Amino acid sequence: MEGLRLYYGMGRDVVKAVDGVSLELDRGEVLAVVGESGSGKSSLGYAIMRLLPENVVLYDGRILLHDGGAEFDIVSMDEEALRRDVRWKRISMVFQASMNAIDPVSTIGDFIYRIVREHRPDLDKRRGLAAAAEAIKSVGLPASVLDMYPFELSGGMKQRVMIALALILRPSVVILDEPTSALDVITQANVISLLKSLRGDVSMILITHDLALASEIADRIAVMYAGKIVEIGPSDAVLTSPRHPYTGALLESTPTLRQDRALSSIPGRVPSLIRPPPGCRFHPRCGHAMDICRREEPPMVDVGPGHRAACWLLRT
Amino acid sequence: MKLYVGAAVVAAILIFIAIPPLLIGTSPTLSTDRPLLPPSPAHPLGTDYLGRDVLARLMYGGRVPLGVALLATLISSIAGVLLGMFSGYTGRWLDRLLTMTMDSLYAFPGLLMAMAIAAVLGPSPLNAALAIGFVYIPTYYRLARNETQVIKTFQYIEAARALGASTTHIVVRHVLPVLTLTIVVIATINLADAILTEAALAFFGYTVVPPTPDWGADLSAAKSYILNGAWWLLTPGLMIVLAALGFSLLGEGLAERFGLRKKL
Amino acid sequence: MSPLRYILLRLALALPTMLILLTVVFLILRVIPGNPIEAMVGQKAPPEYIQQLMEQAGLNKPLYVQYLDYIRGVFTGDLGRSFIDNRPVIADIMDRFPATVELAVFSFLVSIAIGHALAFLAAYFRRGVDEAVRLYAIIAYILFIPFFGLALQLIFGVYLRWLPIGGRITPGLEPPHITGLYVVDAAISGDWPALVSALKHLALPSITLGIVISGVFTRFIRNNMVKTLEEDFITTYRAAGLPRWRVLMRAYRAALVPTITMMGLQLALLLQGAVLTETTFSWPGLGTLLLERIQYLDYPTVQGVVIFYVLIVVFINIAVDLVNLAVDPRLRRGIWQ
Repeated sequence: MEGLRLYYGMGRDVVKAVDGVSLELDRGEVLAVVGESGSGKSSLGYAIMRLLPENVVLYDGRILLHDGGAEFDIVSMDEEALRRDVRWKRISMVFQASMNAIDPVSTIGDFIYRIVREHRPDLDKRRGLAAAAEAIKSVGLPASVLDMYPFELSGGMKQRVMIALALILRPSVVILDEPTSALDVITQANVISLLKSLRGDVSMILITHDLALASEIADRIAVMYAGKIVEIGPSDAVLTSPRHPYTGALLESTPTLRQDRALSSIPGRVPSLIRPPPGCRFHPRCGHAMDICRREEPPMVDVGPGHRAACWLLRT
Repeated sequence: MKLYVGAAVVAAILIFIAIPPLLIGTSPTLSTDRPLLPPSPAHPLGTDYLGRDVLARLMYGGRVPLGVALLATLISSIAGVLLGMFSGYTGRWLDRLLTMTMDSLYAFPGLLMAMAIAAVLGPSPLNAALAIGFVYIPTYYRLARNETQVIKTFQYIEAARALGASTTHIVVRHVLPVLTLTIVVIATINLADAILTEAALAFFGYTVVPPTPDWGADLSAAKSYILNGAWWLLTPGLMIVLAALGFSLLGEGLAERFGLRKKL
Repeated sequence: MSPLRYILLRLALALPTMLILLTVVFLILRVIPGNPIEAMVGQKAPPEYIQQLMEQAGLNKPLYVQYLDYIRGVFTGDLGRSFIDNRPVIADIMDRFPATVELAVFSFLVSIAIGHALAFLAAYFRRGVDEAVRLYAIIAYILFIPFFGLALQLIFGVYLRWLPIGGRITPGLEPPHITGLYVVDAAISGDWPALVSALKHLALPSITLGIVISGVFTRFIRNNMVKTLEEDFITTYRAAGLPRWRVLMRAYRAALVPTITMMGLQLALLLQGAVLTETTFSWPGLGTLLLERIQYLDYPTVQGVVIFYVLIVVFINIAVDLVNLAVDPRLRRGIWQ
């Protein structure tokens, strides 16, 4: 995707949730988009799926999906074509577990079948439910789940149902929005190993605030701040030699199990997406801020193989 | 938007019923011409079945509906809010009993209850106001009680209690002001309902005795004449609708303006 | 707990409400000043005659005895006898009840049809359409029934002569009496002219009442839909590529409980709106019965009709609760299955 922007209106203000994001995702790889709450990363997920809110003010850029020999530009394509050919068939999404993302008045089986039937009208109910059963089992849940209602399931079970649902039509891209956040640690571990097992079959965009999770699963990491990507590169590179001060600060502040230094945090607050700081958006909280940082936005520059970052420090 | 249209309509109606007696000489109760004349320069809205000027009757005919509706709303809001506040604040068995009673009353078809009460009391505007007022008490009770229960948990209430303030004092000085805006808005919308209920009661003859002009009563009396072609005799009904509409829009507009999502 | 036990429990819980309502009805008609017998017969009648009538009507007994008799009467179906014709009140009520039922049912259907159609349009198209629908909702409810009814009668009955302006059926065309519901009876007996006449007579009254009631209903369904459309599972359906209208249906289905509850409230509104409608269209139902008898201060009948309404409302509420349970699995948690 290139220059993706999503602004929405709140009262008289315009929230620039996604403000010029450019990324690329290769076949079979896992890209983690990491950021704090308020960085716009969730909006990015919705923007990629073109799930625009009622109060959308601006949505432009390009999102090119190359799948099975065909090319789709999600941003500009016709709504009906998007719904028919792209949604769920080629790209799907796993929502946060804390959401009521499953139809509360349907059984899991009916819910899944309803979605499958939309894209596979050839499947009758029996075959559709059989396919649902397979998908459920593949995420480690018993087939009996199909007869249950969402309120009867735990958070972890619902999350797995969402994953099963996202994969059922074998899309080439799956976006996962905070797949482990609302879960207890043990369930988290289960979900993580499930995701690991899926690597290679499908390309994933993993949106999370959890750097540790990103480090475990992702091939590449993109760091998002105030609606923009500030650094992107292979996991190892980003984690061991971060080139953007924000990335460095994030890594510093991530607590480890055997920590003997004091917890550090990044001073200041997450910037407003309505009136972001001028110039480099991180400058108010950056220890290395220079004059130019306050005035002009730094461009993305290469700092290593497949590794880019946007910081004025890199220009010298 | 709604607010302004509503306010304008209400203002227009109030002027319509208030000013004319001072300016126009035509009597609404005396027959001044032949009956059932269609609109003409002499009688802009024609004459009714007794030869009275319809326009004059329209202007005078608004006093009872609006007066009754206003009085009824005052009665029900004051009674309902007081009961609701004290009930919500004190709690316990009194609250349970009152709430159950009010819920039951609330579910009751209001018009029927008003009719029953008004019929027993006898036809007069005051009785109509009492009947209608009684019917709407549960609406205000519920509102006041629910809000009071929320306000009760606020810290400054605890502080007041700690300082030894009496229940009455707390309820009146601290709880009531918070409720006021909501009550006013609900009352405005409720006023529209009250106008319609008064019109219904008048239609059945429970509000006024002839020859007092009243929109609802006039409409009822004119029924057969209307169906024989005297369409201008429908105007009292139109006034009822406009009055109710005005207050409705005004109330809804206020609710929007002040961000109140309260319904019920 | 099995379904049957739950139903019985629910019925039992409705008793306090019923008792309170019945008590209120009792008190209203008794405690308010005025002697009904005197009013009916006139103050010039000999006192012994008045006493005799009061004795007959049981008005001489102490209040609490009257109350107990009253309650017992309600539960045994004995609502007393009319002061006017001395017929059992319950008989008068059952005579008129079918007419009101027909009117209520058809008005209900009109209201639901309009309400759903407009609410869906508003939720689907939003913006301009939404504003228009909301305005409709306010205006529709405010349309004073006698005024609206008379206007429609004037236009469709007098000027255009398409529809009759009053009564349930053209005199002489009544179908054989099976249920008392002309439409049903005519359909069952294959009496075509009766069916057509009954329907034509039902048209204006049910449209009038239906439109007025639809005001409340439209607004409610629309608000409900819009609120439900903000839920997360709607996002899932959209992401999964479901077409807009199907998403709307799922939203509607999920918000069915409040919708059904609202429908129950509508029926209660219909009962009172019916009084005005029946009067305007000369419809021989419970509403007109009530009005007639109030005028003659026939307390037993007035009381009987009001009690009847009360009981209907209570039972509708119970029915609504049961339907809701069947419809929304979330409510069944801990109750059955």
